[in-house]
Order: sequence, then C-alpha cells, then structure tokens
Amino acid sequence: MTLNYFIRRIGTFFMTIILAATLVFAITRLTPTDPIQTLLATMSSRGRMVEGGEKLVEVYTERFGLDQPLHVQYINYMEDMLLHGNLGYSLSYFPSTVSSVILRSLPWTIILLSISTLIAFVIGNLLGALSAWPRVSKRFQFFIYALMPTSAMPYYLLALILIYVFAITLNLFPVGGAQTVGSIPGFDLPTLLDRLKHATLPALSIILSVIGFWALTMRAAMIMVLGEDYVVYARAKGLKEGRIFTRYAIRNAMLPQVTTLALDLGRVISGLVLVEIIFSYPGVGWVLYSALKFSDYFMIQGVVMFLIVSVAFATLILDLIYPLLDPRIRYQKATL
Amino acid sequence: MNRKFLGFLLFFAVLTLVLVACQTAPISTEDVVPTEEAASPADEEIAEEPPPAGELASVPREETVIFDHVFGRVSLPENFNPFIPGHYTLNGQWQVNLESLFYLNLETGELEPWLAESFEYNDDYTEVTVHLREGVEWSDGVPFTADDVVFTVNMMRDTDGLYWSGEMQQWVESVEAVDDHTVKFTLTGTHPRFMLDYFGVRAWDVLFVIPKHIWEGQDPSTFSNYDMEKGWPVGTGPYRLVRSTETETVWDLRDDYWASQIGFANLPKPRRLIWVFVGTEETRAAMLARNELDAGFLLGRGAFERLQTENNNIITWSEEPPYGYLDPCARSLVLNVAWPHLGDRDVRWAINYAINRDQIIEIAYEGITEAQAFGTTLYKGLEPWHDRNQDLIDDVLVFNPAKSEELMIGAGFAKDNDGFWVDEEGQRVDLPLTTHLGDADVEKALPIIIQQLRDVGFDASGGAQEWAIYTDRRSRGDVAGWLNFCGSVNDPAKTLSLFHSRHAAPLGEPSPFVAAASRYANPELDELIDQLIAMSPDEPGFDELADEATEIWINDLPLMGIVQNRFIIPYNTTYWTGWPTTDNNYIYPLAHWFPILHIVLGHLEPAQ
Repeated sequence: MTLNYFIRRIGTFFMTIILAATLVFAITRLTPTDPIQTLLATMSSRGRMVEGGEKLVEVYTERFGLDQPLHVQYINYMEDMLLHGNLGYSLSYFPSTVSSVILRSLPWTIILLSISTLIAFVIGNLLGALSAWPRVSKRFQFFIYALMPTSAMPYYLLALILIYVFAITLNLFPVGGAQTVGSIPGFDLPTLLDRLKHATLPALSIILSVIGFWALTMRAAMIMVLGEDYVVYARAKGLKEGRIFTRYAIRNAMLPQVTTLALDLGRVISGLVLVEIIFSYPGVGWVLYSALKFSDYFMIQGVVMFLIVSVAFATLILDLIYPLLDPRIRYQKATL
Repeated sequence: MNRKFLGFLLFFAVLTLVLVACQTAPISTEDVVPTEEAASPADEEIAEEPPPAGELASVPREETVIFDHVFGRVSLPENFNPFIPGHYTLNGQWQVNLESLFYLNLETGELEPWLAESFEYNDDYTEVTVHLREGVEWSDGVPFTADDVVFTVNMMRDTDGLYWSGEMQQWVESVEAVDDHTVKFTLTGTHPRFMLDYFGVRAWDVLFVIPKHIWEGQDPSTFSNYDMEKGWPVGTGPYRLVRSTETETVWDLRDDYWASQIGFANLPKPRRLIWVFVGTEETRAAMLARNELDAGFLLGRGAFERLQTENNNIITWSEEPPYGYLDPCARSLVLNVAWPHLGDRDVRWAINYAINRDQIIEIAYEGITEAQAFGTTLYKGLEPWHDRNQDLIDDVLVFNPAKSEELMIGAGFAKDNDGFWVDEEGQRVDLPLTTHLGDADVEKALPIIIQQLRDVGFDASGGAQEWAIYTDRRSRGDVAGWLNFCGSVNDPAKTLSLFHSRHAAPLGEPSPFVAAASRYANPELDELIDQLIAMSPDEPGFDELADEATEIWINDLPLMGIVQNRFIIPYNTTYWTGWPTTDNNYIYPLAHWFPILHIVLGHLEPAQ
C-alpha cells in the first residue's frame, strides 16, 4: 500500500462525512414538521392547556437556533460537529446533549452489533466453504438449506418467532431488556452471564437473518476457487486437504466477502433498529426511533451521522486492510 | 477439516448456549433475603440505615412492584427536573416522589385534599387563599411550607420557557405566604378554575410544588435536580430514588413518610418500586404472563383475554366486558372548518350522519366501549350536562346515510361519475383525515371512518401518522380533520373554550393552540364562553349558559364525538392485591402513570 493510496482513501472518508452531514441536515430541514410545535402539541394532547404556548415557542426557537436563516444554521452545525465534535442539545430531551444520549446507548449497540455480525460472518462463511468442499459430506449442505428460510425473513418477524419459541413457550431466555429487572450489576461473572443471556435472542435474530446469505455467497465463491490453477497445483504437490482448504481456498474466496461485509453493514444497522425496539434493548436504534417520532432534528442528525461515520470508518478500515489480504492489489499499485 | 472437529465445534456451541440459558439472574430481588425473614414495614420498626448512594439493598420480589414505563426508555435518567417542556418524569417522580396540593377524583368530581387542606376564592374569583396541611415534610426532613409554594410559582413567573411559565405569567399577579401554611394568590383576572387547573391534577398534569431550599439559586432551565449523594430529587412522596438508568428507575420506601407519621395515610407496603422499559405490546403481554410485570400499559381486548388464559392472576378495572376504565380523552373527530367545503354547517352534519359508531365499536373496539357525542368522558361531574342535553346527544349519534345525502343535495352538491360529492365547480369534497400512531384504538378506528365516509360519497383518505407529522399537520391546517381530542373532565367550560375564536387562524397559518386547531369562530359562542369561563360551575345561571352554548356548538358541529375511550390496563395479582377495580373503587383514574399512584400504593396488600 502506497502513501498516495492511503491519503486518497482518508480524503474520501472525510468527503463522505461532509457530504453525508450536509444531506442529513438538508433532509431534516426539508421535512414540514416543526419540532417546537410538536412539543407543544404533545403537551396539550396529554391534558395540558398550553395557552402560553407562543412564548414557549419563542424561547425554544431562539434557544435552539431555529430562528436563524438556514445557511447560518448549516454553518453552525458543520462547525460544531466537525471542529468541536459537538452535536448540540436534544430538542426532546433538553437539557441533555445529543452526544450524551448517544454515548449512553452506544455500548449496547456496539456490543450487540459487532458480536452478532462477527459470529454470523465467521460461521456463515465457514458453513458455506465447507458445503462447497468436495471432501465434506454432501449432507452438510443441509445447513445451507436450513438457514435460507431464516435469512429470507424480516428481522422483526424472526425476532417475534424467537421470543415466542424460546422466551414464552420454552422459557429459556428473557422476553426483552438488557439485564434482569432489579439486578445489581457489577464487574463479575453473574452480571456477564446475565447480560449474555439477555443478548442471546437479539443476537440470534440478527445472526439467523444474515448467516444464510454469507453461507450461500461463500459457497459460490468457493466453487469458483475450486477450479483455479493454484488449487489444482497444490493438490498435485500433495499438500494436505486442510492446508489447501485454509491457506488457498478460503483465503481467496474470502476476499469478495470482506467487501460485501463493508457494504452490508448499513443493512444490518437498519435491521438493528427494529431488533432493539422489539427486544427493548437500550441501544442507539431506540434513540433514533424516538427522535423520528418527535422530529428531534438534532438527535436525528446526531444518530444518523454516528451511523454513517461508523459505516464509513468500517469501510475505510476494510479498504485499507484489503491490500494486506490480497498481495495482488499491492503489486498492481507498485507497477503503475 | 474432519467430522470430529466439526462435531466438537457443534458440541461446544450447544453447550455454551445451554449454560447461558440455564444461568440464573445475578444477585437480585429473590436471592439474598429469604422471604420468611423479610420484615414488613407494618410489622416492625426498620432499624437499618439505607445503603450508601449508588448501592442497592436487596429486596425480595414479593416486596417489589414492577411497572411498565409507558414512555419506554428514559432518555434523561439523570434529570428529574419536572419543568422542562416535554420531559415527563413518569418513571416514578410524578407518581411517588412529588405530590400535589389536591387530586381531582374524576368519578366523583371532587378535589381531594392532600398537601393542602382547603382553599377559598374571593367573590369574583380574582383571589384564592390556600390552606396547607400541617406536618408535611420533604424527604430530607425540612418542613413543607407556604414559602415553597410561593417560590415555585414565582420561579415559573420569572423564567420563560418552563413547563408552566406561560400560565403562571398569564394568571398570577402576585403570590404571597400569609403564614407558614397559608398562601394567597392574586390573579390577573377572574379564574374560578385556577386551583383545579394548576394544583388539582385536572386530567393527569399538575404544577408540582418543589422545595425552595433545593432549587433556590439554581437555573431552573438546566438544573437536573439529581444527586444521589445528596438524596436528590427531594420530594414529599413516600419513595426515594435509589437508581436511575435508561431502562430502569428504582425507588425505595421511606419509612419517615410524612403522611404515615401524622396518621393521614397508610405507609405503602411495597418496599421497592421499579419502572422498566418494556417496548412493544407483545413484550408487555409476555412479561405479564411470566409475572415479570405487576402493572402494564394498554392492551386490546383480544390480547387481554388471551393473556388471562396464560396467567389468571391478571385483572383490570372490570372483570367482565367492557373491562376497561374510562380515560379522560374520549375519541372524537375534530374538523378543520377552514378546509374547503367544511365551512358549511350542513356538510359537517352530513359527515356526522355518515358515521356508523356501532360498526366502529364492533370492529375497532371489539365491542367494549360505547358511543359519545360531546367529545367528553362520562364522568360524574359531566353527567348533569349530558342529562340536560340528551336530545342533542341523540341527534349527533344518529347514523343515517339518507339524511347525509339529503343535506348534501340541499347544500348544492351532486355526485360525479365515481359517486363522489362535487360542488358546482366540480370540485370533490376531499377529506384527508389523520390520527397519531401509538394508540392502537384510533389506528384501527380511523380507516373505518374513512371507509364509511367514502361509502356515502366523501373523498376521504388518510391514516395514522407519526406524532410529529400528525401534530404539525393539525397545527398548519393541512388536514380536513383528525381523530382524537382531550376536553373537559368535570364541567363543560373547558371543552367549549377550545372552540373560542381566539384559537382560530386562517388556513396556512399555524394555529396558536394546536389542541384547538379546528379554526372555528362564532362570536355568539365566544360571548357565552367568556361568561362561562368566569363562572364557577356551581354558580346560579352556569347550567343555563352552558346549555345555550352547547346548543350553538352542537348546531355548528365542529367536533363530532365518536366513542368513549376505555383503557384496559392490566394489573397482576400474583404478588400484589388491592388494585382499584369496580368492586374496590377507591380512586379514579387508576392509570399507574398518573400522579395518583401513591394513593393506589397505600391500598396494595402482598398476595404471598
């Protein structure tokens, strides 16, 4: 990997962030809803007679800078976010800042998302690779067929089925939440196991909905690789099957899967929002859902930007390590 | 890669899953203190000191009540400032930490004294003197006095942008502490409902009095009112906060609760209360079935009956259908009279005659409610008004498509080739309607109404929308009508006042008061409303004026009542009995997210 390549990729990353931030700003401002009016209506619909509402609207419009011209709001927004990392105050949870709300929710989302995605990726690709390998029993392909229906199901449907079967009928796992109600968490094994127990069904709903996809695509990639000259050559040289499988076949078949992983992260995250709502999991997904309901511009901007930055960052990392996985990429750049 | 290795992997994965599934909860409500050793606060004096802030004492499940937090997650777990607009501290602060001067019992129509004992107005309702109860103390032992009330009200008046700032600035000329237990308000005008509206929990909201010694010197716009080390939030209620996270809020009983000390009320038996984030209706039902919840949010009839087959300890207000209790917000269709064609009174009545309320009750409500006409719930305080105007009610509740057609033809409309009403210029009577997502009954009822209107020739459309969009469209007048309305609970003046012309705005301009966004204006009605608002309901002449105003209002029909709103709130008697029911009707409303909860808790008895 050359320095030029590295700089260009970093530059692309920042351009993506700036463009995304602009788009998010524009979209939230283009909606016809007025978050301050929404706030008043929420209060009045719950029995309050907010007849002094005009004053409230004035105060809050000024407080959140919504009385400024759009271009001024944009400049302030970009400056705060890019230069100070300040996402502003939440409209609906004032005086909490957007950052504080997101940061509290973030660990739950990161842990659930990263572990589920990793497990699904590793196991899915392994199953796919094994199912294509000539030395493995054809009955192994049963796993692929068994996983296809779950991969075709929407996340929320799968989540409800898992709750019904494993939580209600078999009573093996909790219905929802991140920990046992009233439990006293600590840095100990019981807490860890309790958290794992609560995370199992949400993680399973994500894993089962994507694992079939990884298995199928990996199987296709492996079939392509099986016919390659280097595999034939390795066999002819008398290398052990296991070595050929891991060092030659999987390693080459995995390359497009790594690319797909980066592209698929966005889809997984969108599904995660539904999963968090159904399982009452206290992650970023629920925060976004609430913010959308109440037109909380700043919270929507903050959460969406966080998700975009995360996906862009993950894509950047994968892009940068790609030449490490495939020496040919490095070699091609050097010859230019 | 051989079979043995694969088999080992599979075995290891299954073993891990089984170990995790079989793992029991960490130190929690059930393990540490054996139930037979648990001391009831009624049995013996509790000698132990509460644990340091941030640590939880172990309390058995049998002494804990677990509530469904109706707003889901707590996005501000370290903020207990009840004056930030939109910040509803329904995770226990409203219910068991703060208390009101009075509580309106919706069923009797009476204001029940609590932190205050009584009040009296002067002759023209421009002054009110409130007598506070002696012996009330804050949770840190400081006496509750008139200074706290004065401080709270002045804080609202002096600070723009707080929850009650507008109302206190509008109505309070001055407030003074006559002595430690007497407060005198001087109002800016005649307001016979001042105490009811702001200190009586009229529907579910109230201006809570806060401790001056805590809030003085703080910026009320940003003060979090949270510090576990100092015991904040401080309140007069029977519980103190011991833990607050996004998903759980935990409150423990205070044995020094003032009401039990002076013999005014029972010390509640539950030693711990937990508000949890539940999520969806399915999760709620599952948790109730598994006894992981003692009080849930709303359920539909089908879900409730199904739940009872899973757990026969689940009860609600009534054992038999219609099961639910009457919520203050009866379901009504409010029309935007500035919308094309809806300025014609005959068109509005034609719409009303096209609505088959029985069909809505049968389909959307599974038969467990009843029709209503005035947009109000049939509470005791409103019964006389309903009884006197039964003929008007009967007129509104008529379902008569033929009459609807007759009115439209008489108003100059004809049907086009598709069977829709058009005016003389060929413009259809277009009726985009909306309601909000979140309440399942209105989500189901609105499509039925839309279909009924289309069946008789109105080009109705629409559906449930997210709250922000729903309120915005109402505010800007971007819809012909919406389904939902919250009006009076004990006298008709409040409902009628929402149709005063001061709330009307031309189409395209935001309505100054979104709850009254019908844009209806009638000077004759305005005059009557102005008189009613300035009168107490028990004054001579009030009923006659109210009836006169009602006749004008109903004749113009900017609002058509649809059904009463019966909420089925599930309570679980596995661990606690004594929940309010028709047979045990000691408080109304009985929703656990209302500020009356601490009264309910005083009646709960352990079931085990």
